Amino acid sequence: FFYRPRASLSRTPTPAQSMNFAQSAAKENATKAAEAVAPVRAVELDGGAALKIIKHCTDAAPGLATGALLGLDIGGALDVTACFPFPKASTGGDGEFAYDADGAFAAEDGAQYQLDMMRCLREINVDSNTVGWYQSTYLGTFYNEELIETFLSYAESIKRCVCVAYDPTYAEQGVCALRALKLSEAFMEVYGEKGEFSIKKIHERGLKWSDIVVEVPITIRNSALASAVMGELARGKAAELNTTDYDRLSLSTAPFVEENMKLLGECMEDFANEQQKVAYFQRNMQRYQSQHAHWLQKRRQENARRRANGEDELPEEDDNYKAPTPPSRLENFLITNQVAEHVQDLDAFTTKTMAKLELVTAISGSK
Amino acid sequence: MASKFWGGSDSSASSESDYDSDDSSSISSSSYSSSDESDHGPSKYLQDESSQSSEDERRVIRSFKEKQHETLRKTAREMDSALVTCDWVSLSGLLDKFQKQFVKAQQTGTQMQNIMKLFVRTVVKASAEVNARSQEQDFKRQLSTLQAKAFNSLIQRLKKYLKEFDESDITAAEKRLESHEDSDSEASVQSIQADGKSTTATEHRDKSVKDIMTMAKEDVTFEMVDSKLKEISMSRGKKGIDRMQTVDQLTYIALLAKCPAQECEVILHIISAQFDVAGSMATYMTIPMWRSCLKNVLSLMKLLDSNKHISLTNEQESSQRPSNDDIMAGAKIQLCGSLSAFAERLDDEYIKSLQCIDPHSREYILRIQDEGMLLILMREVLNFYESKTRKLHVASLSTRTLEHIYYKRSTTYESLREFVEAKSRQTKSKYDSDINVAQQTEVGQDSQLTESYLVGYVFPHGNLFSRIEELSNYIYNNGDERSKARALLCQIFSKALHGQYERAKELLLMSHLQESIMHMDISTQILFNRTMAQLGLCAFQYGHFSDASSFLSDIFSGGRTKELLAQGYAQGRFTERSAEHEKLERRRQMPHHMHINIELLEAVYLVCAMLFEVSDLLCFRQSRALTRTFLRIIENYSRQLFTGPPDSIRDAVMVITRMLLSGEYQEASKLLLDLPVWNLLSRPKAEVLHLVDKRLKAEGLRLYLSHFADQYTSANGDVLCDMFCVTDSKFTSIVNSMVANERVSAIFDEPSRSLIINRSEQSHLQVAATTFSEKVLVLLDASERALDSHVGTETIGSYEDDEAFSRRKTTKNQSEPDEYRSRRTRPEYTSKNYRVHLIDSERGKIKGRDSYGNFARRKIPTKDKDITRGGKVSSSRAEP
Repeated sequence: FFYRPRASLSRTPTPAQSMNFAQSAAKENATKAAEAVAPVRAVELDGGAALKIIKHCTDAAPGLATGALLGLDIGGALDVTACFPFPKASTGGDGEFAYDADGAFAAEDGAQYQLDMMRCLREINVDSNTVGWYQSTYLGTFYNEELIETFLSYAESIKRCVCVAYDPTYAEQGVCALRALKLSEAFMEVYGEKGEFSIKKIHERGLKWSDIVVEVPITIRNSALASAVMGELARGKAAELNTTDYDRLSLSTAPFVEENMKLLGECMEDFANEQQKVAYFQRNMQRYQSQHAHWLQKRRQENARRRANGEDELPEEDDNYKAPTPPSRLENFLITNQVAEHVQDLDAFTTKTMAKLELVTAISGSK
Repeated sequence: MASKFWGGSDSSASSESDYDSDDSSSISSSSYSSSDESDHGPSKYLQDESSQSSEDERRVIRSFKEKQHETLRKTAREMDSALVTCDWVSLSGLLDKFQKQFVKAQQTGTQMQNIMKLFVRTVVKASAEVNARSQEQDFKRQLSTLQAKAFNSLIQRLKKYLKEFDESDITAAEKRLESHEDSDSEASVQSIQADGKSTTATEHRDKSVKDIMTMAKEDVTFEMVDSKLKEISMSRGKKGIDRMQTVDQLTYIALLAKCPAQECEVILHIISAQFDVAGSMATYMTIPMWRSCLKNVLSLMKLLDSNKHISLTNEQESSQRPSNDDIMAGAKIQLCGSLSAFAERLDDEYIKSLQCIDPHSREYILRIQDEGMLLILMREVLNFYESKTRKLHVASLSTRTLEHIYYKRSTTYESLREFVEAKSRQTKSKYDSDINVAQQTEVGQDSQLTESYLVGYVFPHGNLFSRIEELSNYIYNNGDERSKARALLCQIFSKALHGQYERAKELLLMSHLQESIMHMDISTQILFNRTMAQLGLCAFQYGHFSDASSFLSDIFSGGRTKELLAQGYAQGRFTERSAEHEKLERRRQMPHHMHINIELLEAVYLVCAMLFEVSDLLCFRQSRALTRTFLRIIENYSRQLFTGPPDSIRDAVMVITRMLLSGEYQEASKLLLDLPVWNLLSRPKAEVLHLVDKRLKAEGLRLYLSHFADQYTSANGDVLCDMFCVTDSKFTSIVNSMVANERVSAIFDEPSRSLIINRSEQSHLQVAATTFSEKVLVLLDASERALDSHVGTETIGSYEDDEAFSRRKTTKNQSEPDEYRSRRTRPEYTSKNYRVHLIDSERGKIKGRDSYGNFARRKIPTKDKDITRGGKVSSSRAEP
């Protein structure tokens, strides 16, 4: 029931697949990674790495792309200095590999690739610490169970890891669509213990749906040299507009809103599914409870009789009946997050669009 | 060779076999058949055909039988000798042996008569001896313990055997004994006289029957009749008594009765004897018997009426019976019996016979003619009780009477009356030509009179309506709850049958019966279903199509129409019913002439559903519960790969729906109006079909406009009028209402009589928003239900149990078209775009609206909301 955006189009190895090479990478750097436990407060992204991420993701669009983030874990901020893309599964040598049913070969292939890549990068003196991964998204549809799984599997080896999400569709509107995400500690505590996510636990911790994933502020930091080059390039051309500025003035609003509406609709469907699951569970529970009460009553009577006769009492636990397991609430929370995400996007977008439309009306009116 | 055969003797077995072996049998077969003159012929022939060895076998068989007989005889002789020597132990052993041999002989089944006789004779003889012995004073004391024991067991066993025999056999045996053993001691003869009760009783009775039956009428005394009556009543229910014979005897005795009281008593006995003949619940009383029984009840009542000192009571022997002389003199006497019980039993038997007789036979029709008699009887019994002010009896009988007439049309009723009157006139004239006083002899000369009709009784006066009114009013005043409910249903049914739709509906709504019908017994529920079906038919005939479909939807929703109306059995595909269940169901079946035509019902239901639903088919998929069956049928139909020409009504309606959807009104109308099933309507066909057609036109036009308006920029009114054969004014009203309801976004231009259509297509974004809002609504719905279950106003898990007729549960909500309609048109529901659950309790709904209505409004983008709302509002609004 998860929504996997354009899963059929993208042949990238999913982050979950890449976890084993993340682990293997982490083994090499185990000493470093083990030190810091304090939560990540901020992410500093190197300009070069950022450009690489953006390029990779934009090139892959409308498919999805993923890659590894490399860098240093210093103090409060996570320093991402380099990155490299994971290969697309379908483009890995023979086309046949892409149709590998369980993806095991592809994963192995990917792991090998990653290890090789890391070795090569170390050789040219690039930071070879894995600090997370990046992925492209489609209209913010990254809240799914896979994300959580990947985070958790990374967290096994690297305490402080982030996911940088890049959304090419936002970029078209002239914004820098890079975001750094991580799982909240509260959620990790609740979910990480047993991997189950029951209502009881949620209530105990007072966890809210918005508490699952937190966004980490991201700053792009360039080396002095790069800044200088930029300054040199921009000199004397300050007043000129670039393409991004033109993008901002685009008046086509419908596709974006429409797409978001569709996604929202899908979310609603997912919600309805979840709802059904819960209703089903409740019905089962009711049945179970009544049955169990009946059984218990019988058993108590039996025990009373036995007590009267001086025999051993039978246990009041029943092995035959098992209470139905409550459905996981995680999906529910994720969908809620997703909806919130879409709504935020819509909100931001429509505000801007309204302004633009006003502007255009005013301009055309004045003419 | 043939000559050899003709001369063939018994002893020639070997030569025959020789012949068989060396000659072909084809020639010989003819010679055999001609040679069969001799007494041994046939068996020999057979035997030759089979094989040589069979002759030996045959010999064995014969000798076996003989041997059997021989052993029986021998044992009997031994028993005789044991009797003489008073050796009880050996006698008991011998009796055992004898009985075993007898049983064996019976199984081989040869010479039954002889063996039986022998056995009976032996047993009777033994019992006579034994009884004589037991009479002797200190006989038992002389016996040893062993002997005494054997003796006692012997007595018991003999008694048992005696009971099993026919009396005739016993008496024959006794006679034979008497004649045969005249030389025997006097004691044995006397002992037979002083025999056990059964023997003497039968003997005595035989004598008295002979006596009374043969005696001249004048010579019979009261006591004789009385004692005879007692005898017969004593024998009631015993084995081996011909019940028919009992009835005959009693009928004769009734003629001999000396005083009214006695006659009453005899008649009472006759009636119960006649009921006894009928026996089990599965079979019915034979029709002549039923008629004579009915007449007996009538004459009994007449007697009771004319002789006030005789009264009937239900209790057994409540008061002291006066002496015979007093009875003769006319003292007060209470007899045991109940007229209402008799009448009810007769009614039951009548229904039972109708259930059993093949409805397409002449017998059935003849049987229905008896209903007049039954009605007369019930009326008479009613009058009888009414004079005695026994209200409960009157009420229950009234209910039964009502159930016989409620389903009749007034013409049927009148013709029944005419028939009865003609019959009675006919018989009367026959009687008058006779010298006999008709009424008195009715009972007696049953052989010729069972075929004749009742004389001296008139059919209940007043027409059907006044009769129903009268009966039901009485029941409302005096009856119990069940009778009241049934009376009401009967009344509604009758009103619906005669086209008084408004009145019938009023009665139903006033009664609130649909709320409590679930708790009634099954037969009342069936009556309720029948009433609903009839109401539906009536509503249809007077053009109340939505009402009709709501009345009928219940009956058709489960696919168990036949079962619900008790007009057949459900095809138990999933339910395995026990034999007992089936028997019960069979007993509930309606007699065939009371059936409501299911084909007609189905046609009415489907057509109503179509008229009601077809305009919603296009735009609004969420169906109302009422017509869900119809929608399912439509879906199934459209899923078919190949659809042939319609042959069933269901198919026809589907085809019509399809035609309407594609705007082919003319063909649709032709097909619909030509359905042969409409000939079954009670109202003149043309009138009804006119109404249907009118509605069909309107729906067709509406559907066409909403379906195809997008394809045009304008539409000419005249063309559309022609297309759908509607008048200008009607067209204008339909179009205007559609425009007003936003069913079609257009402007009606009055002067040019054309419809100018504003085409507005939804953008993709709008479509997306619409679907989104719909999804949100679904979710909202679900969460509301979840909340309800959490809070406890409604339990999610309360599904229908498998109880038969549990479909009725929903009746409450569905059979109130008024309420339903008002709900649908109530603005707050539609404007909130909020689908109401029929089953929800009122409180739950209000709460849900308050808490979630706002939520829905806030979430839906405003411009999109208008679109969706417009679509739904118009589609769910009731037609003008």
